[in-house]
Amino acid sequence: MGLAAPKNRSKISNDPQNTTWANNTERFGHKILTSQGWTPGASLGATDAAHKAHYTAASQSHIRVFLKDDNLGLGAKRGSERAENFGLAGFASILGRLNGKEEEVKKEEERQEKIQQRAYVYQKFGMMNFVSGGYLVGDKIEKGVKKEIEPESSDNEVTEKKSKKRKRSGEEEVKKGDEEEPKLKRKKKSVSLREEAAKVDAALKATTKSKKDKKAKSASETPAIDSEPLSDKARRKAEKRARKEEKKLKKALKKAAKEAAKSNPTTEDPSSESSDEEESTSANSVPTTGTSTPSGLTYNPRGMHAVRQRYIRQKKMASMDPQALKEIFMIKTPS
Amino acid sequence: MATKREYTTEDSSSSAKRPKMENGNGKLDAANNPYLAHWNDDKSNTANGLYDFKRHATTTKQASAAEDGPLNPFTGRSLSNRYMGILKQRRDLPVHKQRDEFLKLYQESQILVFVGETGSGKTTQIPQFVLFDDMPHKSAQMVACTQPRRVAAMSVAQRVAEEMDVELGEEVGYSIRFEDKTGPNTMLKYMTDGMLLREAMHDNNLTRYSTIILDEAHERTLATDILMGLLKEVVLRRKDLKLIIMSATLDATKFQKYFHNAPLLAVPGRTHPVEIFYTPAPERDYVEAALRTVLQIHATEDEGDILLFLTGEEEIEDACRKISLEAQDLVREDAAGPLVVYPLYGTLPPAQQQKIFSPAPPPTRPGGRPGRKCIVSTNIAETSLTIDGIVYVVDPGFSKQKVYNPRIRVESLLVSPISKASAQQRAGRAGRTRPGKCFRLYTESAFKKELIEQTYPEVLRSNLASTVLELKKLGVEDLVHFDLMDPPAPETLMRALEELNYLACLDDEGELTTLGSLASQFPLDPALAVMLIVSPEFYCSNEILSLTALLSVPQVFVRPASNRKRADEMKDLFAHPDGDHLTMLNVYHAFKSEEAQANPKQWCHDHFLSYRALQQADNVRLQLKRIMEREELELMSTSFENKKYYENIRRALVAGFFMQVAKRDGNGKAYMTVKDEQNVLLHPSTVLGQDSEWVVYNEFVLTTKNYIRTVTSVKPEWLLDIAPNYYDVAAFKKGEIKTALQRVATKIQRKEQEKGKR
Repeated sequence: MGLAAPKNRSKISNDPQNTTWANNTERFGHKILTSQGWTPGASLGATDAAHKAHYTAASQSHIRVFLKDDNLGLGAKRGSERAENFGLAGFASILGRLNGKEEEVKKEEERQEKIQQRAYVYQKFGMMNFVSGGYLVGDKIEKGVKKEIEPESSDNEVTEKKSKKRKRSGEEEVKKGDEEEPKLKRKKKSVSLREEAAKVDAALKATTKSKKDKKAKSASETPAIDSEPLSDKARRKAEKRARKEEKKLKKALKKAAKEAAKSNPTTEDPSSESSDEEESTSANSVPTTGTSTPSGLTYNPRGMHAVRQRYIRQKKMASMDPQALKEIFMIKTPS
Repeated sequence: MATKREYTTEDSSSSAKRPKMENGNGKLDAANNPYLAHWNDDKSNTANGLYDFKRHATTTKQASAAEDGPLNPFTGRSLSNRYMGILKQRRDLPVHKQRDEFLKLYQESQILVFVGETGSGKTTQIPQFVLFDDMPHKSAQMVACTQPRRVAAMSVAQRVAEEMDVELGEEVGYSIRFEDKTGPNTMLKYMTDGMLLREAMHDNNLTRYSTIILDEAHERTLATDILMGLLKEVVLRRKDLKLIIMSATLDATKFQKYFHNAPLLAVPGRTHPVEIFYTPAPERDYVEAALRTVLQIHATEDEGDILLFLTGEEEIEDACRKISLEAQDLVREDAAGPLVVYPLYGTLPPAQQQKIFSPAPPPTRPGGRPGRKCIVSTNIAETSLTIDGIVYVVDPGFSKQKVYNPRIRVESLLVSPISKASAQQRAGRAGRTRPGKCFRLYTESAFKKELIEQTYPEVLRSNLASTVLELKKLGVEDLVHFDLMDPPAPETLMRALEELNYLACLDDEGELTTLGSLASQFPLDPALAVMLIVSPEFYCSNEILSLTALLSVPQVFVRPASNRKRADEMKDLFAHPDGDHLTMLNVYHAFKSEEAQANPKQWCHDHFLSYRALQQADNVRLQLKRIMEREELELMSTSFENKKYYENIRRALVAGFFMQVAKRDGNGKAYMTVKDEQNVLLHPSTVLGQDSEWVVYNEFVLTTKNYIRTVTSVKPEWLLDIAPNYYDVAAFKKGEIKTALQRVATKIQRKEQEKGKR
């Protein structure tokens, strides 16, 4: 918690557990219970009950619950997300190495790094990040089902449906086959916001496409679940192919990003596109963006807040763009 | 009754109308005479073959033939077309495939544990299977099927009446607290578990029933647990009684072991696989994470409704508001289809609860993205309510759960992690109509390590005072060895016994007193019951009756977040300087005034009061009044002009709540509870000024600060006078409270001495 945590003063009673009562054996209740054959320390219930093995600790003493006065999620601890600030993680890994557990330590570090990377991306987009934990069939979680779709779910670890849809540009869609799809997702995740914006025009078309596509995909995914696992070889091959294609894609994306970086400011210019075009002041803007909201397909988790942020961003960009500045200050000099 | 029968057949066939006309013409034909309908019963049964059914030796074939008609095997009337339609559906249910197996086990064994997942049709079908084999009407008995909730008992009875093509309240009926819809013909009775327990108090062997079915036993309500303990003994005494325990969880070994290794029959449900997702790391704010997940699902996932579990009313309303706002944003940006958000919690008015069943909204424009509904609910949607169309479940892993601490005698609802079983139940909700997804807002390791296996049954988390009273009334002498499935903690039982002893419901040997026996007649907490019973001694039983009713319904004051100030002003109109109990009484009296009754709904709205709660209080008051009249307790009031009017009420209050008294600690704001010595503060909602040294309270609220809510100031003299057993000064722990009480005691003594001198 540290010094910065909110102060929460509360007076604790002299005897919050009321041991005065608990330790008093002269009480009426105690008397009645012992007279009926109860001995202190024993639990109640029929003698030699067949189901005694199922008794829980709550049959011995009342249920104790931590008072929860915050919105901390299950398993989260205050301040735990900043463990690295204290260098404890590093210390632990050193100790691990000294103990000769090099491999485990490395694995753990890699895992942490992965999580952090992912968390960064997700935080940036304000998205939720999930990991599949198998299927619930009847009353039990069946990991077996999960294994069957391993070729998918192994890279599919990150199930981010969101970015899948919104970042898919037309060309990607054409190329992508069923197996490579999860890979794509993963790559796309690391694509920066910029690139995304670059594909705004393509995205509009993709809206309709991706919807169809999604349906098609879900159709193709379900059979994959039911069908027998691909043979290892075939799977590996497919993965390889996927990786190659992915690399290609990455390159293409980067290119697109560079282009986008140039075009971006103007697309997001506060002055409406239509006026832009008429005055043809923005020479380097993409001719017809087609959509007035560049983030038409993006999912803004922070809603209103994000809209405001966007305006701020646009203003900033405008102030950095000489062309726009000229417009704002109505300087009429031939550029 | 006979006329009613005829009325039901009217729509089924035109021929049924004829006897009525003939009857009107004065041609009396015994066979068609509706007043002699009972004559026909035997004949029609012969025709149908149910007549030659041998009890506990029937087969599915026989029963199916009887079901096929053409006459209703139980009433002898011809079956409607609708019945045939439903029959077809019924035969598709998973339980139907195992009817033979069920009958075999049912006939062989006295106790049967039946496990059927949700959607197997067990609640509606099994009792009917039993009817065809058990034929309780032949021995003038009944089949009882218990439900943990009133609504379930009512709606299931309605459905089964339709399935059997009979009028609800005739062959099939239900019985819930304050409402009994059964008749002399009733052979299948759905009822709440509490009702069956009440019946057991008067008829310890439950002789009216030939078969008892305990449904939803996995929910382990207090009443079901006690019934199980009780019935376990009854089946030993009554060899002809059959018992079926129905549960929805596959882990039924505990039930089996408990019931002497009873045979088990499991029927798979009709559920689809649900994919489970966990977060890779713990969430810092589960509410925010939940909102984000819902919006993300809405923006990215296929069609299908969302169910989000949160903990309480406030949290749910808040979440609903935020989700709708953000969803509007998404729609505006054309990133998603329309989204409607419905809250769902226990205290929500039924009309609004019904809204959750309305279909998802259509796309905003033809060909647009499909709409979706999102239900934000407490854990009532976990088991009790089934909403079809749910495909996505968001589970933050918390719920509000009741816990009882016998040491400081506090029963409170606290937000705590759910159990694994409960998490699975929640996930299962996504697979009702098609394969679904469940998003858990915690890590897989948190699921494995931090969650307990099973939710603790209610008997381990409640104050048992009223339960012990019931058990005593049921004739259970040895409470220590009463065979419960999960015996409560010894300290909890001790507390319950002590409370009852101080209330004089149990004598010093632990036997039920007359007062205790009387108190058990009231469906109330013992303290409230005792207060009500002794109130005639204080000449204010009318007022205490109203107050008891008000204390057993949800909060009457409404304080909307948007209009707190105005709500507080309105509350001040009713405020009584001596405390909240009296303020509530003022509210009730104002509510009953002519001015308010002219348009009670509007009046409540104007005064920031809950119309529903007040109406409910009115209803409870009426029921309690009936019991009081039955038990010949006098209803009276002190005249309002008498200056002791309010004092009498406060004294009566002490007679019931002397164990919930706090004394001001020094001169500050803090109070300390008597005997248990817990530091508490007055709840900010109180109207009471700071000048009262002793107060009685209705409720101890556990938060980061401990509050006492609904307080009224009392005089220490009354405590010593009315509850001398509890306020035995010598037995008090040394401290401020003891000295204060001693001072009061000597003052009283001196006064009496002076009186004696005079």
